[in-house]
Amino acid sequence: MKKLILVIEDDLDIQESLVSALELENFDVATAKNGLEGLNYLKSTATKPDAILLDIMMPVMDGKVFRQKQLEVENLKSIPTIVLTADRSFEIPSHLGFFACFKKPVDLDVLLETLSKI
Amino acid sequence: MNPIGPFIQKSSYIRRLRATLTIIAIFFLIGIMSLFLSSHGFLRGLQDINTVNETLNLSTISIEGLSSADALLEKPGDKEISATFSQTVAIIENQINQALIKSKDLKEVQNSLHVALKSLHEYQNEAHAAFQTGNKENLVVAKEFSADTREALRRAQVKLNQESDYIFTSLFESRFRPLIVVTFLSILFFAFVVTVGLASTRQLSSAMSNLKSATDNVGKGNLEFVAPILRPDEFGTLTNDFNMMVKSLKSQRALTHLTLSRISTLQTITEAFSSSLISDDIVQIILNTVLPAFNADAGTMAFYLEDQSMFEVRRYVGYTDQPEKVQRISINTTYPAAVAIRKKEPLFAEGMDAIKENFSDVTPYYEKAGLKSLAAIPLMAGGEVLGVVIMSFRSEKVFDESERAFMIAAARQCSQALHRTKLYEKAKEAVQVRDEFLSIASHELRTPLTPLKLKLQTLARQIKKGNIHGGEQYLPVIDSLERQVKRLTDLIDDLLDVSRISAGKLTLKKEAFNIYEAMEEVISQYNTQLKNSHPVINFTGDTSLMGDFDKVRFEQVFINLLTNAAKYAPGKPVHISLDRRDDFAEIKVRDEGPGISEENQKRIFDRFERVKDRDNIGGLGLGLYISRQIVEAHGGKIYVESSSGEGSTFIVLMPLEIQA
Repeated sequence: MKKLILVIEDDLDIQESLVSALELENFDVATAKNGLEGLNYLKSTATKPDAILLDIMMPVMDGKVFRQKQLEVENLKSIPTIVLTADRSFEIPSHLGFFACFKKPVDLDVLLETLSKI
Repeated sequence: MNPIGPFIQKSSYIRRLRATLTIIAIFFLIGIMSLFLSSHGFLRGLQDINTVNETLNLSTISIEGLSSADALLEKPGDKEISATFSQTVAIIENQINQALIKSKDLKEVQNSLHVALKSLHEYQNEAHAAFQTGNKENLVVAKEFSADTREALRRAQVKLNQESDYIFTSLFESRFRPLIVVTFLSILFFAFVVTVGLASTRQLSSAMSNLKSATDNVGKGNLEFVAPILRPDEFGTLTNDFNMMVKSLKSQRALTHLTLSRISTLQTITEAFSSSLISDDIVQIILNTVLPAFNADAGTMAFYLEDQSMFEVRRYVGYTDQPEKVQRISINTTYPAAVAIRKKEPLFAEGMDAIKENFSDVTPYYEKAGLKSLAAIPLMAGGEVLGVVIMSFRSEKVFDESERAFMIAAARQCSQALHRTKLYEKAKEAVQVRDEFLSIASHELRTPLTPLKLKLQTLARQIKKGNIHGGEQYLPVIDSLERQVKRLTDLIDDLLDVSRISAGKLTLKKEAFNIYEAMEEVISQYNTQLKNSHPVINFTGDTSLMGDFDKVRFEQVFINLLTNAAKYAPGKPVHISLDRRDDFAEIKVRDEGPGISEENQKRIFDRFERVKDRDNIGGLGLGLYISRQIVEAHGGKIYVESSSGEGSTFIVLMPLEIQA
C-alpha cells in the first residue's frame, strides 16, 4: 500500500516539485498552502497521512504554530513531521519533537532515505 | 551652650591678676607704714620718758639750788654773798625755765613750775630786801617763799614721776603692738593670697582643662564639639576663637565632603548610565539617581521632538498630578522645558516670583504642589537639545555657583548617555533592518533553488531507474547542473555568514555532543552527496571526546575542510584524525594535494583570499575565513601545516573546557 505524505508548503513551485518527485517514487501526496489548511485537512480526513513535510515560513499559520496545534490533537500528534526550511538559522525546538529537519534546497536522496525509515 | 559668633570680652583675667599684684603691693606699704607708726609711738614714749627725766633733774637741781640760796641767806650783809645769791637764784630760774620748756606738754607740771617760778621771784625780792635792810622779817618771808618754791617744785616732781610711770606703763603695755600689727597683716595677707590665688588658679585650671577637652575632642575628629565659654575674659575669647576655628574647619570639612559626595554622585550617575542603552532606562536613572543627588522634591524628564516643535514629557515624579500618558506640549509655551529648549541654556528660578515671571504656564502646578523653586537644565549634544531635566524644590532654593556647575556637570552625563542611546537605538534599528534583509534574502535566494534541485534529482532518479528511454547520456549533464546548484547554495550561505560575522552577529548555540560521532555522520553524508566522485576518507580517532560547541557551526568547519581537500587534491585520499591535545580536541584533515606555499598559508584564512595560481577552482574564498571566525568564536585555533608538493594538513583545536 502506498504511503500518504502531506506536503504543507506555500511556495507552489516547491510544492509541485515535491509532489511530482514523491509521486514518481510511489507515494500518495496531499497538499496544503499553509498551516491552517494543513490542520483543517488533517481534521477532516479519515485516512491520516504517514508523514508530513512542513515548511516553516508561511502566511496565515506558520510551521511552528501548526506543529503546536498538531501536538494538541490526540490522533494527530504521532504523525512523523519533517521540517523543510529555507531559514538556515532555524533551530529545531526540541519540545516540538520533529522527526527530522532539512534546510532547503533539500537533497532528494537524503529525504527519500529518511521517508523510507517511517 | 554658647552660640558661636562674635564675642564681647567683658572681664579680663590679666587685669584681675594686675589688680591682685597691686593689692599685694598696697599690703606691703600698709605693713611698712603700720610698723613705722607703731615703732614711732614707742620711740616717742622713750623720748617723753627722757624729757620727763631731764625735767626731773632740772627741778632737783633747782631744789638743791634753793637749799644753797637759803644757806646764803643765813649770812646777810655781805655784798659778795648777795651777788652769789643773785647768781644762784638766776641759775634756779634758768633751770625752772628750761624745765618749763621741756614740760610744755604737761599742763599740771607747768602749773606747778609757774607757781614755783612766781614764788622764786617773791623769794628773790624778799631776799634782796633782807640783804639791803637786814630786816629779819624779810628773811622770814623769804624763807617762806623758798619753802613755797620748793613745795611747788616737789609737786611738779610728783607729777613728773606720775607721768614717767604712766609713759613707762603705756610703753610696757604696748611693747607687742608692732608684732601684733605685723602678725595681723601677715594673716590678712596670707588669707588674701590664699583666697585670690586659689580662685585665680582654679579659674586658670578650669579654663585650661576646658580648652584641653575641646582640643582633645576636636583632635579626635569630633567637629560637633563646642567648648563652653566659662567666663567672659581672655580665656573666653580664646575658647570662642577656638570654637570659631573649629566651625570654619567644620565648614571646610563639609565643603570637602560635599565635593567628594558630588564627585561620587557623578560617578554613580556615570556608572548607572554606562550600562543603559535604552532611553527609558536613562529617564529612570535621571529620576531615581540624579534628582535625589540634588535633593529635588520633584522632577520631570522631557524629550525634545525637533521635527514637531514639541517636547514630550515622559515621566514626572513628586508632583501632585501624575500624567496618565505621555504628554506633548509645544515649545512655544512658558513651561520650563519649553523655555530651556528655546534658550539652549540652564535656567534657574529661586522663588515663586521668578517662576511666575518666567514660567507662567507652570505656575498653577507649582502652587498646587507647594513647589517654590526650579532648575531646568537642557541636555545637549553637539549643540542640539535632546531633552530637559527639570528639578523642583519646595524651598526657595538658592542655586549657588558650585551647585549650578554640579547640575550642569550631571546634566552633561545625562546628555552623553542620552546621545549614546539615540545612536544605539539608530544603530540597533539599522542592524535590525539589515538582519531582516539578510533573513529574507537567504530565504528568497534559497527558495528557487529548491524546486530546481528537486527536479534535477527526480530526473536523475528516473533515468537511473530506466523510466526514461535513452536518458543515460544526460546523467553527466544533470550531475553538473546539480553541482552548480550546490555551489550556488554554498555561495549564498557563505555570503550570509560573512555578513553575520562582520556585524558581530555570529551567535553560538552550544550543545554537548560526541565529536567523533558528529564527524562520522558528516563523512557519511558527504559520501552520499559526492557519490561516484568521492575520495577515500580515512578517519581514525578518540571516540569518547565530548565537545560543547555549536554543532551546526562545527560541522560547517569540518565540511569546509573536507570540501577543500576534495577540491584541491581531487581523487586522492583524505586522512582525518581526532585526538585530545591537552585541553583541546585536535582535528587534523590531511590531503595529498600540491601543498600550500608559506606565503599563501598566511593569507588563506583572510577574507576573499584563495590559494593563488590555481585555475579552475571556484568559490569566493570565504570558507576558511568563516571557519576561522567560527573556531575563534569558540576560543579555538585553526592553522595549516604544509610545504609545496607534499600536501597540506589543516589543524583545528577546539577547547574541551567550557569557556567562561
